[in-house]
Amino acid sequence: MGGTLALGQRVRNSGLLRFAIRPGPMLYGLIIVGFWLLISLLAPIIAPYSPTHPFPDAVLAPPGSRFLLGTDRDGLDILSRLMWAPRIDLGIAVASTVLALCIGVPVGGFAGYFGGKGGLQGALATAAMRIVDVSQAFPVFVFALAIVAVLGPRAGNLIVAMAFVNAPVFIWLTRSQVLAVRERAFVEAARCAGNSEVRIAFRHVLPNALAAPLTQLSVVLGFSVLLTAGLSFIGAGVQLPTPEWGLMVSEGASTMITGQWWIALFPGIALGSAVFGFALLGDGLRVYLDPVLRQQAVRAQIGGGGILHSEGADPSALPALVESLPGALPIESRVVPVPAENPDLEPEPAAAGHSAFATTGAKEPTGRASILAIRNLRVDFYGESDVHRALDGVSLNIDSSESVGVVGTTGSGKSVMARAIMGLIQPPGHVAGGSIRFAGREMIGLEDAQLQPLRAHDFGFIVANPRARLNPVLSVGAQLVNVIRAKQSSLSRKAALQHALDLLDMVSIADAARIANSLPHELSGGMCQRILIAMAISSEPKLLIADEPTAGLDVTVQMQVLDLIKGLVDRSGAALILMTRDLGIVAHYTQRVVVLREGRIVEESEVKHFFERPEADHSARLLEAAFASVGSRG
Amino acid sequence: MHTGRLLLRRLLYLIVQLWGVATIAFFLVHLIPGNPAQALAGSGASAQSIHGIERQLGFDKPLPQQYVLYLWNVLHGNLGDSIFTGQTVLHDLEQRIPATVGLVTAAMLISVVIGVPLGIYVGLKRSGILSRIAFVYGMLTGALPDFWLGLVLIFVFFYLLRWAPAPLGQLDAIQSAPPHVTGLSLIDSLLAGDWVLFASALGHLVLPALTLVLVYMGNIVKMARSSMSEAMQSGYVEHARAMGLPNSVVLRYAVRNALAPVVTVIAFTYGFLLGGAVLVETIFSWGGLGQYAVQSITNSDYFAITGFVLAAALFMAVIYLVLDLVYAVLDPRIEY
Amino acid sequence: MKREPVLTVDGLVKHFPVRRSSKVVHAVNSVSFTIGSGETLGLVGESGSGKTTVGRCILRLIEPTSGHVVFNGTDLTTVSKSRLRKLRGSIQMVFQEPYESLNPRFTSRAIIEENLQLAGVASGSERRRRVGEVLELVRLPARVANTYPHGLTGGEQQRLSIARALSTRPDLIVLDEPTSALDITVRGDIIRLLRDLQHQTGVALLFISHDLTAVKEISHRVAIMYLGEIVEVAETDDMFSRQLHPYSLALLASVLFPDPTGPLGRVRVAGEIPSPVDLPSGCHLHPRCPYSIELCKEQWPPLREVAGRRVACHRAEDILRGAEPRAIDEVAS
Repeated sequence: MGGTLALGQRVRNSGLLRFAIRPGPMLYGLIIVGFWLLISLLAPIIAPYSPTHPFPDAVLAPPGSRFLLGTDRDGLDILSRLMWAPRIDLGIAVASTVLALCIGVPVGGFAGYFGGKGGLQGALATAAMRIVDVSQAFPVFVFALAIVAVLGPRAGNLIVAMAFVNAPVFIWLTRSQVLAVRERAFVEAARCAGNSEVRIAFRHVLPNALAAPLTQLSVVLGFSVLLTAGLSFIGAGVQLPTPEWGLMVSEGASTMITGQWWIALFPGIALGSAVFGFALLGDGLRVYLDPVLRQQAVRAQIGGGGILHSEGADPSALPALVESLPGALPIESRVVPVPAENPDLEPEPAAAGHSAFATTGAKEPTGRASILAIRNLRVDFYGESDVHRALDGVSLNIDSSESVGVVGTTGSGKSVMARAIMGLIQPPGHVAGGSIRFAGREMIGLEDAQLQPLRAHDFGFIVANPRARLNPVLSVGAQLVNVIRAKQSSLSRKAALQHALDLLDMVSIADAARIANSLPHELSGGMCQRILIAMAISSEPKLLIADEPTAGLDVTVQMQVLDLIKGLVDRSGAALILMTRDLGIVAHYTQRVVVLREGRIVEESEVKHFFERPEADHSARLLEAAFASVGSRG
Repeated sequence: MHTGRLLLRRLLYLIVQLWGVATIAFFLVHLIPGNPAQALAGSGASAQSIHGIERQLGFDKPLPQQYVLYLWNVLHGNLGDSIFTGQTVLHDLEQRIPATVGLVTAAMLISVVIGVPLGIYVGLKRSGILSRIAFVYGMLTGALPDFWLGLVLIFVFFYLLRWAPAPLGQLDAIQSAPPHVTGLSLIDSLLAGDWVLFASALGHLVLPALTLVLVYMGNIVKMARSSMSEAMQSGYVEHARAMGLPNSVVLRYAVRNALAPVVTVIAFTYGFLLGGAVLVETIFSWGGLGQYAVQSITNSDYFAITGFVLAAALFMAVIYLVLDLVYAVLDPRIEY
Repeated sequence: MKREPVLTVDGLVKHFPVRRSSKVVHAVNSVSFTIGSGETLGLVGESGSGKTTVGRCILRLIEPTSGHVVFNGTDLTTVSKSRLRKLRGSIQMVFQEPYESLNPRFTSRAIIEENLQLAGVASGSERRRRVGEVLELVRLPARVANTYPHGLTGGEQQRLSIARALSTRPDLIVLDEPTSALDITVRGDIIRLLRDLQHQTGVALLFISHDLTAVKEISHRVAIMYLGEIVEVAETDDMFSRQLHPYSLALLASVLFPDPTGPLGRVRVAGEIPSPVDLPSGCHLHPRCPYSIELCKEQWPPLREVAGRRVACHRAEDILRGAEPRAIDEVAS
């Protein structure tokens, strides 16, 4: 979806630096790697002795005041060697990784861009990937060992060997990125503009495919350090007396059994810490480039106590994330942060029959029993550096067998409201206050186990993007059977299956037995939505919550789904809350309209009244936009 | 039918891949400097006897001809003779494969039995002490050099505490090996019913296996954690909860979907270790494939190296084949 | 009003091969239409109708299987690649996802200038002048020139896309769902902008969309597609006041106007669009059609002239005379 991609970009570009200096893996990684770089740079000044000058009088001296970390079998000072070693270790790692990148990116780019395109280039691309495949079957360490054996154990040859071993990583990554980027619309746009294929590849595709291989750089650096040390450890790498961590560990290997632990211990710690630093850095970069992971990481860091709407926050990111609906539209206007508290929204007396907002024309008490009463509901979402109040004092009454439409643009809080009623708000979301009473029973504060029977028997839930709502590896029939048995545990599997087929029949699925055996990805979006509806009505719920049930469906299928929902609700007498941004749906399929804007109800009216004379400015604007896009009334 | 077609395709691919590996290994090895005929004949041998050995091994022929000959021999199960041990390479490999496979399999079993449930648990409880520990452990273990960790374990458990036996192979030097059945002392002693020997073999296995577990289980924990956490946040898990499914079913949905990437990591690690537990084997003088490889390379032992590489590649190919089959079971969406 | 045709599409066919099978996806089956200069043709259909494939074939982003696309007298399907590149400046395209269609590493200025450069505007100062001019034309502030796409709202991004397309002063712009990814409040603005630009520049538009309300606003004529074929073509007002093809009837009945007092269309099609790999026999709509008769199963209805428009339905005359559809449950069974 373009909407979510656009969002990702927006999040991504809000500053690598700001992300990096936040306490977290990336900062720690930077500190560790920076520390070793600094040490290697300053080694000539700060190292107490020469790394290659032996002290024959102090062979195998334990750590002490003269030799802080002791000496080895040749009487070399371990601390000094430890400080000089990163020049070799990091130097070889950096050089080999850069070389691997220089091999991997062009090869991977070529293989990705021309892969599957036929012609000479296509054949070359396939051939390149086959060679990479075969080289993957080689044991990495032995492969490097063999190359060094061929070339001779010198630092330069180590670099070449490790570049060969590591290049496939970059080839794979670059190729998969290019494969993805070349399908994007701006590449087609470049072709439309008259760019040649070569120009497209170099100007438009490759620069946009570099993020992933560059992220991997840090991880490969760490691996190279380990590999260098490992090769040197068995004598196939750097040779004595050059100071190198792996070599130093091997110097101490035999004395470990005889108790001289310091020779191998310290270089190993140094080695591990450097690799650890690179790993942290790589993990930080990975998280940084993935907006979803990034939200989690930040959430974990700020914990419970954030600051409401602090400076410099990007409030547009969160609501969109919260309402990450399929086909979600890109956020058009950024959400303006609302004041945290609003004195007008204090809980009103519970006796009030309808919301405090009830404006003229809102419904009169019908005498029907209220099935759902929401009072002053507040839901917060924790963001990178702020807390976004997704619902800000929402109060609403739903009567039994009433159909209510909740209208609002993306980010207005519709989906949050649906999930809050279902008790499905999860971190980084949090119900901050208010009350939701279903059939008189308070639901806020209930445990999952207490909510489960309510969800099973009394609620029906239908949402957008139905395919993603079904377990991808289980047949829809089996999933429907699981739902049915959650509601009637006494039912045998066979009886449940029969009930499932009946339900599929009820939602107008002609070929129920075949559909029941299908996996979700084998079914169309409309079909998956029918399955969700079948699940929702399997227990004859008292309240049906439909959150954008037809987003992403074709209009003729949308009509079928809406007709189906309406028919079922009419027959069963269930109440319906229908969240949508389509005023056309509200006009024809609900009795009452509730307008949400930035987490607050700005209007609540009978449908006819709403379309004739909207009360709130925001409602008028929504209607105007709807009519503008339609052109004229009807 | 699907599975059959998959097997066939993968087997064909495996053959092509092994041919590629054999080819690269052959030419790479022939670039290694040093004259094996010289080594075989001994340092004082005459030029004539060296030449004789060269002719006997076919080294006097042009390289392409040697290559064809080599492939022909490999096809007939003849991997050549090792210059260093004087045995056929096939025999050498048979001797050493059980030691490596046994060690690596033991380490992998422990890693899977502990790592997968641990990862799934911390994936479920994304906050909390255990989760943090698992995260740091996951990052740290990947960074620890296995050869160094092995040494530290030896120092602590052998030198300081005297709990572990000397790191000098699968049994104590004074003990004689059980009758050769598999080549892995642990199994052979068990088959022979020699409990003293079995205990000793088990004791010798602990430290090298522990080293591998500590270093390589981290990847499994990390992957299980992240894929479980991802599955728990998916739309289908939320919907399963919304439908009022019992927790056990919700968990089953999540685990089933989280397993596929974990299995991949397990397979990759297993394949990597079979060809790459070289350093740990060296430290513990384990006498497995890895040590054989290092020895062959340092001695320019042509046929031994190519034989080892082919064996390692075969291992990996078989593991990936099994991986594909497991994947097909775990994820019915995959079509072949 | 008869206009000189800018674009003539004649018998366009596009089949995609199905992997490991001798079958093909019949994405487009013999589509023909013309667009006159300064005219807008709305090409409407649901997913799977092949409307986007038609647009991509016209621009030769994919190679048509057969048929001709004649643009200003040149057959684009046979022209050489280098000649085609030169012609690109005269036919431009605007894509559905505005953000996706803009290279995230280029500033707005670089995006437009590249287009100009490739269209043969060699002078740098001329290009800069044209960038300013075209940004003004689409009512974007001049500061946008130095912004990257991610710094723009969805509406601004789509204006930038339109500016890019207009910059080379093309004769035809193919717009592929240009409003579908936009927020409702912006949709109307973009439509009005396109209409104004057409008045000012006389550019012809092929407006591909599933959004009937947008199509109604901007098109002079409307063509409705189903399963790779045009089933009905008419002047916009004629089409929206009366439909003669059952699919057009169902499609227009599905448009929910934001007016609770307005009537809800009655005609529905049953089930979902069948696979374009195995097309139904005869009329492709017959398994879903509430008007279908035996003939429809056997004989494919060609586009023909009925009551001043072109319809591909055996029962067009009956529908014109007010024939009643069957209930949808009967069709489904």
